[in-house]
Amino acid sequence: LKPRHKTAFIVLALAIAGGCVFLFNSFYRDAKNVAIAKLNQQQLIHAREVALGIEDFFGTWIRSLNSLSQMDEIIDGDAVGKRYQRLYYEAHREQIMAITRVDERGVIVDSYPARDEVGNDLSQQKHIRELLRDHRAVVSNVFKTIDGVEAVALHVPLFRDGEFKGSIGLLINFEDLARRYLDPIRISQTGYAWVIDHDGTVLYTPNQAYIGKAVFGVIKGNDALDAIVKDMLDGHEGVARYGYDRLVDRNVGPATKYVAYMPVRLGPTFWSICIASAEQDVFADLITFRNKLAVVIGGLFVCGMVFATLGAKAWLIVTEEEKRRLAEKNLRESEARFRTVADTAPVMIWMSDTDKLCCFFNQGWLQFTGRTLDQELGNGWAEGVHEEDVERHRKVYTTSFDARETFTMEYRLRRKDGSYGWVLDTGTPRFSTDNVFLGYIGSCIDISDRKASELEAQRHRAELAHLSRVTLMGEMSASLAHELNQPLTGIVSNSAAGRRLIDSARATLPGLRELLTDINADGLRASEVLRGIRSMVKKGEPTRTQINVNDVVTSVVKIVHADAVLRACQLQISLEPDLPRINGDPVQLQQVLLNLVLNGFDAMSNTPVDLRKVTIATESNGDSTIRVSVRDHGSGIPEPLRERLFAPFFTTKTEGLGMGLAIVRSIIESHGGMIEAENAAGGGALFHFTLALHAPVSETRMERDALASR
Amino acid sequence: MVCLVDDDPSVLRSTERLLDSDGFLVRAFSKPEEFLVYATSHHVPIVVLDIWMEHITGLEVLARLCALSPRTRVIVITGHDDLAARVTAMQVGPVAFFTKPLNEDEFLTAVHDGLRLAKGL
Repeated sequence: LKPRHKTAFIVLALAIAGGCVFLFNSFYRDAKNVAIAKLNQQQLIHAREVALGIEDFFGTWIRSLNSLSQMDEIIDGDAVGKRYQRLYYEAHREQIMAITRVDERGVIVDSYPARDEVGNDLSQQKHIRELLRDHRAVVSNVFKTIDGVEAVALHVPLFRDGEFKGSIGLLINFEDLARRYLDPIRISQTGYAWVIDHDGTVLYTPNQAYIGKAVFGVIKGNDALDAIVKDMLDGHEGVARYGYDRLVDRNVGPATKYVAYMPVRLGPTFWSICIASAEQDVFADLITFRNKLAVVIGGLFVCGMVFATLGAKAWLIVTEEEKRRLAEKNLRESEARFRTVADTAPVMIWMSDTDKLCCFFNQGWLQFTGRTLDQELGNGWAEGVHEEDVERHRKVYTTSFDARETFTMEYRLRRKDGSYGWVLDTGTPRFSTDNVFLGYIGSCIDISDRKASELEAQRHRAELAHLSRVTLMGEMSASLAHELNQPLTGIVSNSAAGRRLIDSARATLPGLRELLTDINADGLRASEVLRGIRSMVKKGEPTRTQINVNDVVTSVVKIVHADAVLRACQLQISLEPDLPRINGDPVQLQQVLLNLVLNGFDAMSNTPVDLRKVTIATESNGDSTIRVSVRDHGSGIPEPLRERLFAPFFTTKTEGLGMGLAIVRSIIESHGGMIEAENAAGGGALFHFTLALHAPVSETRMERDALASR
Repeated sequence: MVCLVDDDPSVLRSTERLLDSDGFLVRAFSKPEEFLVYATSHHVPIVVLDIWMEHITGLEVLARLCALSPRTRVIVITGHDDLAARVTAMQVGPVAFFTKPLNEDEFLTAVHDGLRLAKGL
């Protein structure tokens, strides 16, 4: 994967994760809201039920007392009335704690069972004060009776002929009331009910400590709760929530409570009931849902990731496929272009793969060989290479291929008509743009004409060289004859002497043996001279072998020795030992030296005898050539003639063709060297030429192969 | 006694043997300089001289010998019958001329004659 794709994939994964988190949150929030709404609704229903229950409770008692309040006996507070009251108490003693008759000033007139002292003035109590003021039924706050029971007092006014005559009241056990209506309010774990009266006094709460206190004192500082309480004191109903600090594991943390409140209408007054539940209860119920949701959303995420991965893969594959198709199309087009170019090019083109086998030939090639592509592919082409060239071709190709080197070679290739044509083949390694070796590509041009004229020229050169050698030997005929004559003289004289010694009986066997040994040596010497002459005069094909130039110099010295003596010239040699061998034609190089030495002798004909000296020197030039110089002490080369010295038919001699130096130069050049002539310091001419240690690459390789195949 | 000068050792030895086989006492020199040194201190009645010697041409030796010992008889032997050389030799002094390879009888006769003439004088 490319980094770009990786990044895209990570972004996609993050988006999926984000989507899942959003989904989870939104579902969970919805569920929470639903749960909260349900809680609110539930609490409201509870509150209403409780409110209605309490209203009904008090309503029942007020209606019941109202019926009592119509009785004159009760209004009068006489014995009958008191009896009624007792009967009433007895009838309801399980629910009421006492029944009390209060006069119009708020003083207890009668109470049964006798809890409060008769004559106690209750007018200072809040509900009695309201009663005396409004002449309406009242319900007291919850208060503790002297025997420690929480109770609520209920008073109904008494009238006679529209005149207020006090009230009749009941003391109701609030704990019973609360037990009956408020204590059952348990919503989940923390839900509970609390009740305040319209003054803001806490009537009921599960926490006993707050009962009877002012609600604002209890809730101090909680604005939300404060607003709720105010709304409650306005007699409204509703749902709300408030925050508070909750103690969880010894740490105080924020929490929320949801409340539903509802006024309890008790005649002219009202209480307000509030049912509150903590948020965590709602959430506790939601945990299962949340876990399930998490599993579902998690599953969704996994599915999403799997689909995203598969999708991304598919997309990548499709894209890659598209790219590959495009690249293939381009490649095909490029190949088609290449083929068009290759087939219309006026050269022969071949290509090979990394296994050295040829995989392509252009029309030019196929037209040349007259064969089909299938016939030529692989190694098929080799059938067309001339049998004398095929091995050399194979070696050059294989060696260059393995070294990844460019090669150039010439070989004969069979034409359509069966004749052979010379081609010049240049092969180059092919590399892809990322430098992977792909094989070779080569182009051949038909050099048959050039080759033919080259061969012709070579033959002419060889003939000319031969002619020149013969001429040279002719020039030396006198000295060569002398050279041959010396051993012959020895043989003749020795044999004559031997015969005479035998005739005169003076012969001794050791003497004769010595004599014969000398004859034998002279015979060999004569044969040696002849061989030297023959090698020079023989008409041979130019050859190339590994030779030491010093050996060539030595052999030339032998040949010209006699001539040197004849002309009273000294011949000196100065050879560098351990000269590297070169590839050369020994006869041609002898010819070169012979030519230069004899020219030197010629040039010294006017030099005093003691100064006639020719020096041949060899040295390694250090730049992969060997330098050979021939120096004489003659008259030197007149400057105007220097330029033309090596030109054909140029001569200063009365005899000779004037081809000597021209041939010398062509021989040197065919050995990868060059020749120059100059005037030496101290007089005389200095010819020096170089010989290449390594001929051009292909030639060298061919030679090396030739050697190796021997 | 016959002096013999030739720088070719093979020719020198074979000529020495030929002279020896005819009973001559031979003093052979492979270097002309040595012969010239010898000639300054000894009487040389006759010398056989090769004129194509390497360092000093035979003709030069002949010229110096004539100056040193004009009465010495000289027999020149040469590998190449060079007319110019023959003429030069004749000009220098009384000389017999032989071409290699030597005709043994003529050569030996010439040596005998020369020695006799030298003794007779």
